[in-house]
Amino acid sequence: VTIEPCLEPSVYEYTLDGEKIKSTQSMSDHFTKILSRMELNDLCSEDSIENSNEDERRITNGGKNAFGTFLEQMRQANIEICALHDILTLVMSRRYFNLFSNVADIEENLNTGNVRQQRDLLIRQSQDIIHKSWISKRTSARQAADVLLSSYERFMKIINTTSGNLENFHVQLSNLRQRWKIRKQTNTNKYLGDLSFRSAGSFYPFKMQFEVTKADSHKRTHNNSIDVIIPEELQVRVILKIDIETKDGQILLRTYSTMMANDTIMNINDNSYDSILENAQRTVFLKELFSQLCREASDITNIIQPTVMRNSIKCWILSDVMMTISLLRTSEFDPSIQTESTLYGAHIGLLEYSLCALLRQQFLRNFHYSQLKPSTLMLGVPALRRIAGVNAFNYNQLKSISENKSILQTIIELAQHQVIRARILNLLNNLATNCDINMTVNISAFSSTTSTYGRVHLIAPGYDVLCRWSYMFQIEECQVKIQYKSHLVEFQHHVEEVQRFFINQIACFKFTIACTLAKIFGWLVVGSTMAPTVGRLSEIQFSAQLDHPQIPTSIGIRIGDDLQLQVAVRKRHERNDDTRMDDDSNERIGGGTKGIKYDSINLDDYYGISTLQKFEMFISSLLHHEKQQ
Amino acid sequence: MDPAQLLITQNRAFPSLEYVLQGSIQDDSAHLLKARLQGLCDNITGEVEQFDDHEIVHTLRIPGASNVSLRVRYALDDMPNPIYHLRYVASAELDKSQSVSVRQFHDCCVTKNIQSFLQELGFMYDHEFFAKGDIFRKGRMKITVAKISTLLERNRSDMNPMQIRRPLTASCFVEMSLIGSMHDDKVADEMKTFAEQLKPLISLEKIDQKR
Repeated sequence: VTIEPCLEPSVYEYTLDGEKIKSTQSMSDHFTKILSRMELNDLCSEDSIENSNEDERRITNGGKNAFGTFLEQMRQANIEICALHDILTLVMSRRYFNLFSNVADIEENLNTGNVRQQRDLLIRQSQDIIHKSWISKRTSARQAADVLLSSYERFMKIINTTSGNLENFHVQLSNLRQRWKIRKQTNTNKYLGDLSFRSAGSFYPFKMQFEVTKADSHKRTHNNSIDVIIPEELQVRVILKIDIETKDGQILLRTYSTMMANDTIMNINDNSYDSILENAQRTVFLKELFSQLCREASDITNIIQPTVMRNSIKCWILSDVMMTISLLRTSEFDPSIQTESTLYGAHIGLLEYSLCALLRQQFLRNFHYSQLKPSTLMLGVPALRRIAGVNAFNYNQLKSISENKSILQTIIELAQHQVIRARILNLLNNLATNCDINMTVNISAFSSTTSTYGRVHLIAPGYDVLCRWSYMFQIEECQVKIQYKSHLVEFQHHVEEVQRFFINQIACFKFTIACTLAKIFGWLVVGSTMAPTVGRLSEIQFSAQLDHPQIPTSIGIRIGDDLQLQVAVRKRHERNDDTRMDDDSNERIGGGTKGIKYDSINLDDYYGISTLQKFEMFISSLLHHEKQQ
Repeated sequence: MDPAQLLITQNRAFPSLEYVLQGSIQDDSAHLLKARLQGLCDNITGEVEQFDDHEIVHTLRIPGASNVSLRVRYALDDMPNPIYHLRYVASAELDKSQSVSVRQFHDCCVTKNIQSFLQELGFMYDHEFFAKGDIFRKGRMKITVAKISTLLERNRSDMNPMQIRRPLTASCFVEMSLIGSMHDDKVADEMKTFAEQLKPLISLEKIDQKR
C-alpha cells in the first residue's frame, strides 16, 4: 500500500559534506522497511539499507526483552521527530534558517542543438549554485543550532535548581490537583478543595472544604512544602458496624466497614496528603450513608419500623433476631473484642461496593433529573417541588410507592434472607450428617441475594433404584416454600417447622423403602398407619404389618422415635388369625389394652452395613427357613 | 401571609432573567468540544444526554411597534404526546459592563393545540428549524451543542418526524444559559470562568444584535 500522495516533491538526502544522495526508495518502501525492522521477535535486521550504522544495529540486536527493543526504537523515532519538528518550526519562522527548493534535475533540461556545450555550462553553473547555497545553509543551520542549545541550557538550569519552595509548592499543588478538586478562591490567595459528592448529586449539607496552604517553616521538609487543612469533623475516622444477634444474645454476625481496602489495618503513620484526604472522604461517605439510613428509618412507609437511637439504628428483622447498624468513631472502636464470625476478604469489597452503589442510586433520585424534552425547559426543580423538599414524591412515585426500595429496606431484606438461609442450610446439614440415609442438598446457581433455590434428594445407599425422593425448596426473606410430589408447603418464620417436616419425611422415606424392599421378596402390606404431619417428635407414627402367603410369620415394622427401623415378628398359628384380638396368648403385660403381641428382633444379629441391608438379610433368612422346612 | 404562601410568591417571581453566551464551532472539531465538556461538566448518569427538537417561531406584526415573536419548541423523540414549550425572549439588554448577555424571558408548557391557537390570535408563521445535539449541565448552567438544520421542503401538515433535513451551516451552535434573578451578581463571573476553560476550541460571547 502506497502512502505518498501524488504530485509531492521528492525528498533528497544530503550527507554532511554536501553530497547528494537520491533515495531510490519511495516513502512507502522506506516505511515498510522500518516496520519490518520493528518485528518484536527479530533480533537482527533483515535488509541492510544504506545507513545501517552502529546505533541501529545496537537497537535491533539489543536486549532479549522484546518490549525493551520496541521501546528503544520508538524512543529513537520520537527523538528524531522532535528534532525535525523543532527544525521545521525554526524554518517556518524564517529568522534563523532558510530552505530553498531543490535545484531541478539537470537531466530533465536537455534541449537539442549545441547540446554538449550547453550542458557543460549548465552543469558548472548549477554546481556553483549548489555549492553557494550549501554554504549558506550550513551557516544558518549553525545559527539555529545555537538557538536550540541556549534554550536547552536554560531549561536544564530551571529543572536542576532546587531554588525556593515556591516552585515546589506549585508543582505539588498541581500534582494534588490531578486527583482532587481544588480551586483558587478569587480575591484571596486561598486554594480550596472540595471533598463532597455534590457533583454526583448529593445534597448533604455539611461543609466539606479543605484548604491547601504553604507549609510553615517548621513543617517544611524536603518533599513537602504544602500543608492540607481539613475541617475538624472530618479529621476523625469513623467505622460502620453491623451487628446481627438473636434475642438470647447469640451473635450471628458482627462486621465493621471502614471502606478501606484492608479493613483491619489502619495505618496511623501514613501521613501523605493523599491518604489524609482519602480518609476524610471516607468519613464523609460513611457519615452521609448513615444519615441517609437514619432518614429512611424514620419513614412511615416501612413495614418493619426501625428505631434510631443516638448513633445506631436497631431493627427486628425476624421475630427473634435484631440487626443494629451503628456509626462509631475510631476512639470507641476496640479491635481486641473477640468476634465469632467476621467477614473478610472478598466479602468486604463486595459490601463496600454495594453500599456505594446504593448511595449513588439515592443521589440519582435526589436530583429528580427529568429529561429535558424539549431542551429549552428550565434546569432543575420547579418551585413547588422545591418547597416540598428532596424527598417529595411525584405522581409516578406515589403510584409506585411500594416498589421504591430505600437503602435501609434493601439492607433489612438482605439480612433477613441471610439469616434464614443460614439457619435452614445449617438445619439441613445437621440432618444430613445425622441420618443414615443419603441426603444431598444442592443449591442452585440461580439463587440471588434475596432468594435461594435448591433441591434435596433422599436416597438409601445401595438401594437407589428402589426409592428416590426429591424436594425443591425456595428460601425467601421471610418464608420457605417446599415442593414435593405435587404438594407445595409454605413455612413462615419458624425454622423448627422445617426441621419437623424434614424429619417426618425422612421417617416416611425409611418406612417406604423398607416396605418396598419387603414387597420385592413377596411380602404384602396388610395394614399400615402413617401420620403425614407431626406436632411433636414423639408423635412420629409409621408402622405396618407384612404378611407372606407362604410364610406363617407376620412382620411388623415401625419407625421409632430415633428414626430407626424397628422390626418384630409374630408367629401365626393359623392362616387368618390376624383379626382375632382377644386371644389369651395375646394378653399384654400390664393389661388394659388389647392388641397383637410381637416379638422384637434385633437387627444387629444380622449381617449388613446399613439397617436396610440387615433387614433384607432378615427377610431372606425367613424365606430360607421356610424353604428348608 | 403565612410563610408557605410567601415562599410560593417569592419563588414564582424570581427566575425571569436568562444569562446567555453563544458561540459556534466547526463540525469537524465538535467532537473535541464534546469530549471536553463531558470531562468538565456534571456527570450523573454517565451518559451524555441528547436532544432532537423542532422549533417554530411565530410573529405578530404590530404596525407602529416592534414585532412580537413567540417560540414553540417540542422534542421529536418525545412522541406520541410531546410537551410543547412556549417561550418569549426579549432582546438582550445592551449593557457593556456585563460580560454576558442578559435577557428577560417568559415560558410555559402547552399542549399541541398551541399552533392553531396562535394562528387564531393573529400570529403568523415566521420560520422554523431543527436542533439536534447534546446537553451538558454544570451546577446551574446548561450548555447545549446543537446542529441547526432546516427542512428541504415545507410541509406543515405532515408531522412525520423523519423528514429530510438540510443543515444550515457546516458548524454547530453552542449556547450556555443560566436562569437567574436580578440579584445574582456572581452568575456572570461563573459563566465567564467556565467559558474561559473552553477558550481555544470555542469562544463564547454575548449576543451581538447587529450580526
